[in-house]
Amino acid sequence: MMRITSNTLASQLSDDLTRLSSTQTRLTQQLASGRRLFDASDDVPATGRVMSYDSEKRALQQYERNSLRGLTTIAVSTASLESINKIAGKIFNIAPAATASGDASQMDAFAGQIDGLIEQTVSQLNTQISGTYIFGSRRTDTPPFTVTRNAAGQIDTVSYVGDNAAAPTISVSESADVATTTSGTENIQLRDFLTNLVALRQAVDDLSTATTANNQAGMATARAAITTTQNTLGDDEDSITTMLSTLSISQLRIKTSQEQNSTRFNQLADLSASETEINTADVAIQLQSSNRAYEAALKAGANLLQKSLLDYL
Amino acid sequence: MPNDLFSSLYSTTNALRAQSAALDIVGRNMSNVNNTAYARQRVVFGDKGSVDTPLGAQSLGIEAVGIQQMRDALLDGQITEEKSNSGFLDSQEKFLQQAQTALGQGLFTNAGTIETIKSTTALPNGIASSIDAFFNAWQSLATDPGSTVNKQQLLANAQDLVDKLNTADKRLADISLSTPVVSNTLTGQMDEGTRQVNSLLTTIADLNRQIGRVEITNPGTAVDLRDQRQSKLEELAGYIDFTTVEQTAGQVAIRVNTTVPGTTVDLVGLANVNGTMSQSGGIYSWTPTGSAVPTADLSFTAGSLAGYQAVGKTIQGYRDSLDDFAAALVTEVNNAYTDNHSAGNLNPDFFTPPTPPATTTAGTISLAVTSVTAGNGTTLSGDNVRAKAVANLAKSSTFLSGSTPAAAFAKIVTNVGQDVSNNNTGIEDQKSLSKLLTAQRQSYSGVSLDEETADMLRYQRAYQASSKLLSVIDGLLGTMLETLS
Repeated sequence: MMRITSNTLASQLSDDLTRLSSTQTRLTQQLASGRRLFDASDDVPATGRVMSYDSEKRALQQYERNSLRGLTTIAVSTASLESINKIAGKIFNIAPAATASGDASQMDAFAGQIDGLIEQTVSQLNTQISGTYIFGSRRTDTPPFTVTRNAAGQIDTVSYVGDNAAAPTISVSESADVATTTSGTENIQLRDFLTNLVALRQAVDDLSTATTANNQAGMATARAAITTTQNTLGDDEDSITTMLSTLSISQLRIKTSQEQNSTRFNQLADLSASETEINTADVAIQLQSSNRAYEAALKAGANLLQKSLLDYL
Repeated sequence: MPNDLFSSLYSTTNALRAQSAALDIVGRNMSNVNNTAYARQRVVFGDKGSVDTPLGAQSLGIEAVGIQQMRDALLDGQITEEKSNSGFLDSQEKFLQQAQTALGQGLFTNAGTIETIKSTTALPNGIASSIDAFFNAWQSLATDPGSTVNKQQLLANAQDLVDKLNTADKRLADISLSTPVVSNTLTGQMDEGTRQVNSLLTTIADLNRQIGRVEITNPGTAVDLRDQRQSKLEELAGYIDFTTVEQTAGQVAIRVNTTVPGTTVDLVGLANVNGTMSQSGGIYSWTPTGSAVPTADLSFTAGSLAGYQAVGKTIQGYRDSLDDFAAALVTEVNNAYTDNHSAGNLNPDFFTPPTPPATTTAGTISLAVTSVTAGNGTTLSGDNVRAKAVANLAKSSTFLSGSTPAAAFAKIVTNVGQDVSNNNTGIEDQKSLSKLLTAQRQSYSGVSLDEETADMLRYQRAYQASSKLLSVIDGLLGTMLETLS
């Protein structure tokens, strides 16, 4: 049997109170902060997991920012292209009307309308977002479509001075990179559309001049040119529709990625919280239990330490 | 001695002396009840001898033949050894904690708030957060390559990461043992520990001298001095591990290993300290008395001084890991940004490249650029190929030892955390073991007031009985003397 000395109880009590006090401090700190982990050494495997979750969460937040930027770019690109598509639609009304009309002044009015649409199209294709031109592929700091004007101030020729390569892509998820603007090749098609518009306006002007001069041969040539240009513009409209479709697919991919990223982020947030945060009820009960043990140790110690054989002499 | 009243008077007087000595020891025990270095003592009673009488051999009575100290050499040895082991672990604790803090990698969460994918407030998560912010800034730049704001944000994030790596390295350097060792907090602790060891050696040698004086004629009787020496030996064990070798007259030599396998040095022999211990560059040396220079490097495997050496090397290991991380960051980012200086790429190095044979460290990493482009340095302002290449390093599993940058840094953090955790567990285990041994020693050597009170009453009664007998004998002798008169 172990011999119990006068200091045995006091030492044991002191150790127990220190241990219980330490537990109370830790539990109180957890309750006050809502956190289970403070340093890596608190739970090393959990730390590794939490750091991995947090890093992935930050990457997902970045993908979300990329996605928002991408959607904005696509929205502006789409709006511009839809506007141009509408212009193409109007052309299909104007061109037959101009061909059918025998009135030179009416033809001049049609030519004026086409000229306005050309100006509008150039403006749309030089659209910027925060100072960035979106129809220049990788060349974004200068207007991608430049024009020369004739003596009457009308746009005479249109040049594409943007980049010819594929559009740059952005990352919207760990495995998805999408283009949010048109490519250089598509932009060249847009330039061709403008060139064809200029040619159409020129053909209507020529028809007006021939009509005024009652130049039948000239009128026939101009009408043929209008018809030819109209057909070409039809092809251009198809190209624009394809571009819109491509952008729409990019938009869909981004939105799909956003949903997946958001779901994954919430899962990670839950996982991270389950590792780092406390169950308040559990900790409160543990603290209560620890407090009771502390009180019991104090009372038992106070009773035992007061008694000695000396008290009975 | 004849068998008469006078002989009874003599033996009773001896009994009174013996009980008195026992009561004196009880008093000493009681007064040392709270002295943990004290081992309780007991009077050893013995027969004073016997004489032949016509009635046969008769005792000359009781006497206190000695004082027995209730001390267990085996337990003392175990406790001394465990003090060294505790010192080894305890000395590392605060430095490992500091190393953990130096990385600045707390586990922050927004407890009580709801964090969503659209949250823009970054959690203050130390270097790990800065690593992600750095690569995410490249993502932002890749998304909007012409944005001046994105470029400035990228440079700011890069500088933040560089600053944090520089700061972490500086903090770790202050508590590590590198080559060469510079004066820092750790070596300061080693110097202080060395001073304490030299002081304790002097005290122990002095106690050896006092014990020797007493025990040269009465071996094993300098019990109080032995208590004091044991206490000092245990204190010394907190600093270094050593063996004690019994010498003449109760004195002990203190023997330690040198760095040369199989060779030892006696720091204390008999009543003398044989030299002085010193520390330089994290190495403990011994300079014998009379020598101007150290003659041996000392090798400790336990005690706080060994703990400082061990933790210094461990923390230097963390610095090396952080250096590897910084070097990989510089190499990988520069290669991605400059496309390995391929033809047509006009980008300069993003981070300052090292000048061989030097390598980049966490303490020397710095930015080499004041402006940044997202492309190949051409006039294509919307080109994002280089920004994407650098951004993609964040998910490259070949960044460093088959890890992504975030995982590589997390590995450093968890290594430090594991060491802190192991140390904490070791300290707890050591506390339990020390507590157990101390309780065992207390059980054997400690003073029990109840026991001493019982002894006090026992000796008191015996003293009273002897006094009574003395009184009776005195009465009888008086009666006899009256008859004679």
